[in-house]
Amino acid sequence: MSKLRELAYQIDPALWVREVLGIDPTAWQMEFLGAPRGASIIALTARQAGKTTTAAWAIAHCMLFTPASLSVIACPTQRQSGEAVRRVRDMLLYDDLSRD
Amino acid sequence: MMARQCNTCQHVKRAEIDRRLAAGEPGNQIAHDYDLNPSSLHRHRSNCIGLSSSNAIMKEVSRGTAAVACLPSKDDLSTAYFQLRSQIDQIVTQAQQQGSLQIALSGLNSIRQTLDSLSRLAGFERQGTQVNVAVQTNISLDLRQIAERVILKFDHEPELKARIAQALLEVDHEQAA
Repeated sequence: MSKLRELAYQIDPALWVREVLGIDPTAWQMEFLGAPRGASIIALTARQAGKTTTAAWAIAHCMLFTPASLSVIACPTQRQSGEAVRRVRDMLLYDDLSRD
Repeated sequence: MMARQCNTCQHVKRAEIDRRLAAGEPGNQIAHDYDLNPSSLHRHRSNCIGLSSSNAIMKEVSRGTAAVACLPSKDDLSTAYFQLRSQIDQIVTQAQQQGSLQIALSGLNSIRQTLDSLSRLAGFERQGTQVNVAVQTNISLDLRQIAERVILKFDHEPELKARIAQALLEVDHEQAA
């Protein structure tokens, strides 16, 4: 991956999701990903709308482009947090493959 | 009634466990390392990922290694090619004298194709010319810092950040073209 491309992905998480993961985020997901640093976000959506996935995109992006950052996933049950961690891991693997 | 979920599938280190299973490591050792029930891991191996037993996997690996070892070496192939060339010369001379040149050459062509296939299997044809590339890396520009500045400056303007990122991507496309 070229330095310019990496720079573009670092600046815009939605672009990274589109180009690397190959998914077109919906309007509310774009808003979620474009939220300023330290923002508290409430996603009032239907079930199965992609809340965990969107959060996983944001976490994976932060892990990749903000070295030494700390991400915490807290859910009511371990099954839910395990699911989120797996999604993040899958995205990181996807990114890793795209760099080859 | 809902089917019982597989404990291993739910495990945080599932990918690592699957990798070790696929590599043919003994199930008991893996179960011990990840604090899993060996029977549960066995069910995961056969039902969820459809793998054979670790013994079967190791046998497959051994068969593969043995097959690779049986392929001819580069020297063997070179010798075979040289022998073939001298044979061609002899046969061409004889065939010309006897008037059956076409049949002789078609036979030799089959031998050459067999050698080509062996060469491809052994991976020798991929060793091309060595190319040395010098890359200059003394550019003291930290792009991460630039990105950090842009993010901080336009943190509350996501549309502007998206436009900057898009412009950078376009420059990258132009450079690649």
